[in-house]
Formats: sequence, C-alpha cells, structure tokens
Amino acid sequence: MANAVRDVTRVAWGLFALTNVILLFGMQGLPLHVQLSLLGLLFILLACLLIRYNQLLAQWRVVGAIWLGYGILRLLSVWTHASQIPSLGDNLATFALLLATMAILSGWFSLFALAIRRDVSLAYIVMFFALGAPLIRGLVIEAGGVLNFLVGQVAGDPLSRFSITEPLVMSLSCMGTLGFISLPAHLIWLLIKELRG
Amino acid sequence: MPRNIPDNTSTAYKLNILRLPSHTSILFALIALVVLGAALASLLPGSQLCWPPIVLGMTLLPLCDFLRRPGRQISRWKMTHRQDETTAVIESELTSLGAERLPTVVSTYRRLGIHAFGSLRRAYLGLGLPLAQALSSGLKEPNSRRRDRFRAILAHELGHFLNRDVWLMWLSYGLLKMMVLVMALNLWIGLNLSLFVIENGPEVLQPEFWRALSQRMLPDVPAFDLLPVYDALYQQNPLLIERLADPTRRLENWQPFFFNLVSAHWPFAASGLVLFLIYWRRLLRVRELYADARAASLMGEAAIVLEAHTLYTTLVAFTATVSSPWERLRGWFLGLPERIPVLGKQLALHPSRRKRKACLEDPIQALGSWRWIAVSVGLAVVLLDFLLRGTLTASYIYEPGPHLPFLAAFVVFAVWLLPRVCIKGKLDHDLARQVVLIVSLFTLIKLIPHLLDAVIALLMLLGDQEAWGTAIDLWAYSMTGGFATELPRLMGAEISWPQFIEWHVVRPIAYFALLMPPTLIVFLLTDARLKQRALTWYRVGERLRHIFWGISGLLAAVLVLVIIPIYNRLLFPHIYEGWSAAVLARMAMAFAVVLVGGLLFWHCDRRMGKRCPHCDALVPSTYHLGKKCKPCDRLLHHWLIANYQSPLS
Repeated sequence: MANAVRDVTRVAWGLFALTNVILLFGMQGLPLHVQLSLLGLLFILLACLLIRYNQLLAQWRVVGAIWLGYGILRLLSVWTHASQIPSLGDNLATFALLLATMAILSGWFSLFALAIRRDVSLAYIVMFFALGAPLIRGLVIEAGGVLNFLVGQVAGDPLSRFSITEPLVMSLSCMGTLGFISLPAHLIWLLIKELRG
Repeated sequence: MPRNIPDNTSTAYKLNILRLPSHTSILFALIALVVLGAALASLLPGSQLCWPPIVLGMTLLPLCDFLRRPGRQISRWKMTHRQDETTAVIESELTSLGAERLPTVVSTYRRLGIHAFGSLRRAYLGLGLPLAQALSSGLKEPNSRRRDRFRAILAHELGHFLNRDVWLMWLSYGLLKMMVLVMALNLWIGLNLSLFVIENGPEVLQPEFWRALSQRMLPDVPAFDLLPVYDALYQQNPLLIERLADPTRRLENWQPFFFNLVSAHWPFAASGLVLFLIYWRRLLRVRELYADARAASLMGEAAIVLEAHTLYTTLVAFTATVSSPWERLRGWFLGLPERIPVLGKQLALHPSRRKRKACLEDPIQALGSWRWIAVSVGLAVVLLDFLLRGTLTASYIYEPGPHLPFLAAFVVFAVWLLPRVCIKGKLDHDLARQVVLIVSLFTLIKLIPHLLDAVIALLMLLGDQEAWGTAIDLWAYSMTGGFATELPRLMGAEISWPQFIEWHVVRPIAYFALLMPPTLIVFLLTDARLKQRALTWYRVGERLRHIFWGISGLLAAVLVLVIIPIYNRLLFPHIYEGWSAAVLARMAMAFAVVLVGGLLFWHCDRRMGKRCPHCDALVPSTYHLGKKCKPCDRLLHHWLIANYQSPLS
C-alpha cells in the first residue's frame, strides 16, 4: 500500500511539473481546448497532491507559508506584467498568476485540513474578528470610499496592482466560514468523546 | 468510606471534610456567579434585550475550551501512554490505592512534574519520564516507609480525581478565559466599528450616496430607489444623522463612542483580573489542601503526606531537565503575582507547607476563615453589581436585583457553617457570633458601592448641583453610546435631586443595611438549628448529606419566593409595582413546599431521631463529632470522622 502511494505520488508530481512546463511554454501556441484540458488536468493533479499531503498541510506554519507564497507569486505576476519580459512576453505573468491561483486553492485546502485535523475553530473565529474589523476599514480606505467599495469600482487594472489585504481577505473569509461551521461540529465531537470517556 | 477510624477516646476526632461540600466548590460557584450572572441575567423577565451571542459565548465556549483541554495538554507536553514497566508499576499502585476509574498514565520526555488533568469523564496522570522512572523504582522497593512516601505522592494526585477538583479548576478557567476573550473582542470590534462609522459617516449619511448607490449597484438591472432607506434612518434620529454627516465634528463624535465603549467594558476587565488573580489562584491552593486530606485518608496517616511532599520536591529538583526559554518565561510570568509584597501569599499557586500541615491537623481550616468567606462572597457580589450596572448592561437588565446577593450569601455561608455545626452539634454562642460577624462584614462590603454613591450625593448637595447634574446626564447619555437624539436633561428636569438621592442612595442603603443583615442572620441560624436537629437522625447515615441540601434549599426558596418579593415591594415600590398573579402563585408554591417540608421533617424526626442505628437504643442530647452510643459503644455518624491522625500525633 505504502509503495503504491509512493509511486502514485511520484507520477502525480511528474505530471504536475510537466503540465506546468507545457502550459508555460505553449500558452500562445496551443489551441484553446488543449490549454483548458491541461488546466483541468493540472487542477486534478493539484487536488491529488493536496490530499496526499493533507497531514503536512494541516499546520499553522504551512498555512502561513502558503499564503506568503501566494503574496510573493502575486507580486511576481504584477512585476512581470508591468515589465513585459521579452523572452516570454505575457506568458510569465500569466503563469505566475496561475501559480498564485494554485496557491489560493492550496491555502484554502490547508485551512480546511487544519480545521478538520485540529480543533482550531475558536482561533479562526478570533482571527476573523480581530483582523477582519480593521481589514474592512482598510479595504474601504483602499477603495477610496464606501460607494467604490460596494459597487466594486477600483482604480486601474487588477492585474497590475497588489495589496497586502488581498491574501488577508481571501484567507480570513475562509477562516470565518470554517470557524463558524466547525465550532459546533467540534463541540459535538468533543461531547461524544467525553461521553465515551 | 474511612475504614481506619481512630477508636481511642483520648484522640481528638477530626472532621472528614471530604464528605461535606468543599471550599473548592464554593470558589467555583462564586466564579460562575460573576461570569454567568451577567450573561444569564439578560434572559430574565424585564430584560430589554436578549443576547444569544453573549449567552452562547459565555456558556458554550467555556464548555468547548474545557472539553478540549486534556487533548491540548497531551499534545502541548507531547505526552503519550507507554506500554512499559514504569507505567505498569504506577498503574498497579493507583489500583491498589482504590482508584475506581484508573486514570490513564501518560509520560513525556519534556520537563514536567506530576500533574493530574482531565475532564468530566477522562482522567490523565501526566508526568515527566525521569520522574516516572524515579517513582517506579521507589515503588518497587520492599515495604518500607520510603515506599509509602512514593505511594502518598500518587495518592495525592489520585485525590484530585476523587475530589473532582480537576474539572472544577479547568471549567472555571474556561469561564474566565472566555469572558476575557469575548469582551476583548467585543471592545476591539466596537472600537473599529465606531471608527468606521465616524470616518465614513460624512459619505454615507448623505442623500447623494444612496442615489448613486441605487444607480450603480447592479449595472444591468433597472435602477431601484434606495433613498427611502436613508429617509428611514434620518427620521429615526435626525440630530445624530446630521452630526455624523458633518466632517468637521469627527472628534466630537468620537468622544461619546469611546466613553461608552470603555465604560461598558472596564467592569468586565476589572472583574476578570480579580477573579483570575484572587479566586482562581485560591481555588488552586484550596484543591491542594483537599487532595492532601484525601491522600491522608487513602494512606490512613497524615504525616506521610507531608513527607511525600518533601520527597516530591527533592525528586523534581533532581530529575529536572533543561527547560526551554518559553517555559522559563511562562514560569516567570505565572509567578509574577506572588512577588507582590503584601498580597503575594494570597496570589500563590500552591499552599505553603505550614498551611498544608495546619489543614492536616485541623481539616476545617481548609474552608478558610470567616473573614475570608465574608470577603469572597461580598467581593463576588460587588463585582456582579459592577457588571450589571455597567453601561453595557444597566440600560437593558433590571433583574435579578437583590436576589443574587441574598441567595449567594445565604447558600455559601450555610455551606461554610455546616462543618462547624457537624463538629459542635449545637448552636452555641461562638457559632452565633460567627454568623453575626460574617453577615456584618458581608453587608459592609456589599454597601461599599452604595456608600460611594452616598458620598457622591453628599458632594452634589454641597457643591455645584448644575455641574453634577450635567455629569449624571452625561453618564446616562454615554449608556446610549451617543445615539440619543440630544443630551438629555434628566437632573432637575425629569428627576429632582431629592428623588435621585432617595432612589439611588437612601433606599438601597436601607435595603442592604437594615433588611438584609437580620434576615440573613435569622435564616442562617434557622438553617444551622435544623441541621443540628437532623444530625440526630443517626439511622439516616450518609444520606444526611442530601437532607442538609434539602434544608438549605427549602430556606433559600422561602427567601427568594417570599421574603425578597415582600422587601422589594416595601422599599422599591416604583420598580416592583403591585402583586402580580405570578408573584402570588410563586409565594403560594413556597408556602406549600414549606408545609410539605415541615411535615416531612417532623415525621423523620419522630421516626429516626436520637436512635442508635446499631442497637436501636435511645441516644440522648445533641450530636457532636465523635459521639458514641453508650449501650453499644459505637461511633455515631462515623462517616463524618476522618480516618487519619494529625501529623504531630
């Protein structure tokens, strides 16, 4: 069983790397349906790898690292988008954005895995309220007013700008939801464990 | 049940405090009273607001924290149950000590002494591996005094489980932790929300904003008018809307928000600090004294418990491993309150050796002095008063009024007096004096806030009444968080000065200074007298403990359902108007319960009173600890007698 898992993991990693390379270099040459198929395969492989490493992902430090990675990738995408590197053109910027998307999925999965494997619901709720309150203020200020914030009008192309509030909004919204869902679930589980003695 | 009761007439019998309500339970009840009192009071009739989030937060979150505590401790200390000889030896000794449900022995490589933890149905005995090995090798020695000392160390830890203080300790910790957490979050969100409202008020509270929002909210959908929302807001409080919409008045807007938030939360912060530092730490110390008593009971000797304590200290010193900087910092932080010059002893986490010895010699000392018990109940009641009179609560919660101080004082003092009644068996001058002293000190502490009100009222009368009136108006204004239409003119307009002093100073002081003390004294003496009578029902045996609760419960019901409603209508007719059908029904119910209870008491007294359970001979006069039936020479109520001798004897 262990050998089979190891082999499948190796294959998944290999295919994952290969698909990424194909997408990076063939982004403009390949037909759209091939690109979409490759993207689909890429996300399936990512899901397999996330499930395989769920134990590793369910740690606070990994959650932090993934969201930090997301921030760096987004910065990279903004930077490459702005600098227009001649060798790869827009490909690198788009690829960085694709990696950032995968980082988001990994970040959400790691938050989910952490909530399942460990009773962190209260920590999620506390973080959601403690950071969420100033974050909303920050978002409104960043948007330039309540009206702009509500109607979603932002200054400039979203691909060419990045703010620290971006990973915070995405991780905290997930944390808040997971926290409120998993708190009663964990409480029930704790009560069952208690009754079993 | 004690098996080895000293049967020597020269021996002074010791009270078996383990069979009576404990001081640990009293402290837990007082912590729960303060923390849950304010939250649950919002559910009482008369409350203008039901706070499901607060009530849920204050009940479910501590429960959650408490239930996951064992798992967290195991993972924090990286403890695991090992299938080795060391663990087997410790487990077999625990079984031999009489553990009904064996705690799971878990050990760790990290620096840790011996530590009993768990929840309601899960029990763990955690210990550092070097200490576990030392314990195991000591327990493997042939029967000797030294081996007994090792056994006594385990008996002490087992005592924590048998006394059920492990869950009292962590549940009270959970209650306090969640009160602090919920209130800190509430304050933080309140501050941010206030800032948000003040910063964005000038933009949002304009008709143009709602018009623009109506047009741009959903681009492909026909526009719908949101202006009525603004109109509704404006109609509700025009002055406030205009004030918040004015960008030049931001600082002026911020002040009432800030004042309201701080005054709403400081009682919780202050109460949390006092409960954590004084009550919870006291609970930790008291539970050690009870665990000592249990260990002495299990070992059949008190001196061995003190010897075991010395041995344990030595073992910990010799088996200690290097602690991490975090552990050192945590230790330093936990020990910080003990370094406060005068209060240090009151804030310690463990009792001194002298105190341990004194409590083993005279177990009743574990219940604390009459001063301490009066101060602890008085302070708890004052803290609850602060919470209920804070700006977060005072506008919405009117009950429980004086019910809680009355009830808390009666129940706790009755529980505290019970061991003394059991020892003496009669209501002598000393006991009556203690009752009067406790009630007097409690009344004095309860009156402190009212006396402060009186001082302020005096200053008002002597000073500038206009300025003081404005101060009171501002306080009332702050309760609304600055949401009132305008600064109210209460003093001198809606309420006259004589009315204010009568309602807020004279009547409360009269209530708590004139009505409460005699009532409490009469009820406590009645309670003691009835319990003393019940102590002569020798045939009832250990079931007498339930009868004690029944007596106190019956008197508490009379107090709450009959006496307090009468007093309330006597002194606060403007709040408690008339006699509703519900109040009369409750009073009738109380009378019926008293009648049934009284008949039962009389019946039991006739059937079981003053008869030896062994030979059925008549046992004259009242009970006292160590009393024997003369014809059969057997001890009466032997379950009330501790089975160990004092360390010195």
